[in-house]
Amino acid sequence: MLQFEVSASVRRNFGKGAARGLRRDGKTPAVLYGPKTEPISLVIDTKDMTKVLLTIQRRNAVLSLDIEGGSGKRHVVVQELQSDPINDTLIHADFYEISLDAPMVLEVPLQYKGKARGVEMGGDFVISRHSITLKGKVLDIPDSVEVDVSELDPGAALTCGQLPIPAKVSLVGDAEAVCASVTAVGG
Amino acid sequence: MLSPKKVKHRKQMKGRLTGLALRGSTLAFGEYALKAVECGRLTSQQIEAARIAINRKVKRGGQMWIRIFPDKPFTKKPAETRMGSGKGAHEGWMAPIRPGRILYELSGVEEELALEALRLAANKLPLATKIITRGNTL
Repeated sequence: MLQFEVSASVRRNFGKGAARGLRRDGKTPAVLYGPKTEPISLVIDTKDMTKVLLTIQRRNAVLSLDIEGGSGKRHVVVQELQSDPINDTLIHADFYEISLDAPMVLEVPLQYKGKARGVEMGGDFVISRHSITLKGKVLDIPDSVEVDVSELDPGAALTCGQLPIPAKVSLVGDAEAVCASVTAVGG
Repeated sequence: MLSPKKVKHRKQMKGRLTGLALRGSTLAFGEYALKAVECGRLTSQQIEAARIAINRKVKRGGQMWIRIFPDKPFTKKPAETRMGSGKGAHEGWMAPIRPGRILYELSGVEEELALEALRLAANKLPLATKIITRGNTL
């Protein structure tokens, strides 16, 4: 699991006027909440956060949130991001506080490596799933699952149950669901 | 050509395009996508022309998703007709596009080929677009 440090400060001005002012100054409004935490409105640096988010690239990551004037670092995951539909700039971020010892259910992206044997024989490689759901302790859950597809023959399919999942975590959902397949040649 | 199977009313008002695309603005299926950065209307012919451009470049292999559908009818009055006498005859179908809307998505092809195919598709469209990839989006 990827880990990053992000610094934030408590936000005291609310509303869209204040939020737009923050964005003009290179800051992004954010909020922190969790099962045992009262929601806290935050301000984060847009440039730093964008850099972190582009490194994470939608994979799961634990962020150590250092809140200015707060009591120590808090472990959070990115719960939701709002971005501009045109420029893809960050508008707002939601952080969800987690416990490193409690089991969590997370979506883990799949990364397909290699060129399937069936593709070289004329078939098409079809990705049916970009992610799977895993349950376990946060630091045991991988940031992504790499899958070698070079052995896939024409007409063959790779199911969720065949994926190389670490021993300490378990698969949530249908193990027979197809993740990727190669179409039959001439079919 | 894409068109609805049946509609409740044959003719619609033109409408105005305001705001941004709040739905259909994220990369949902593929690895690469063509995104509109300005508003406009795409006719079913234009959508088809761009689809063919992608398919001809990619040839076999890969998968493509068309994320828009021309479900809005437009009408046209005959040439050299005086104004009035009711709304013109049904001419075709279009999709209203707001900035940020994903138009096409591609996956299962090499990055270089996908970007070139989307560039060729963009040339068929009357809108400013940009190409986005899964790695470069938040």
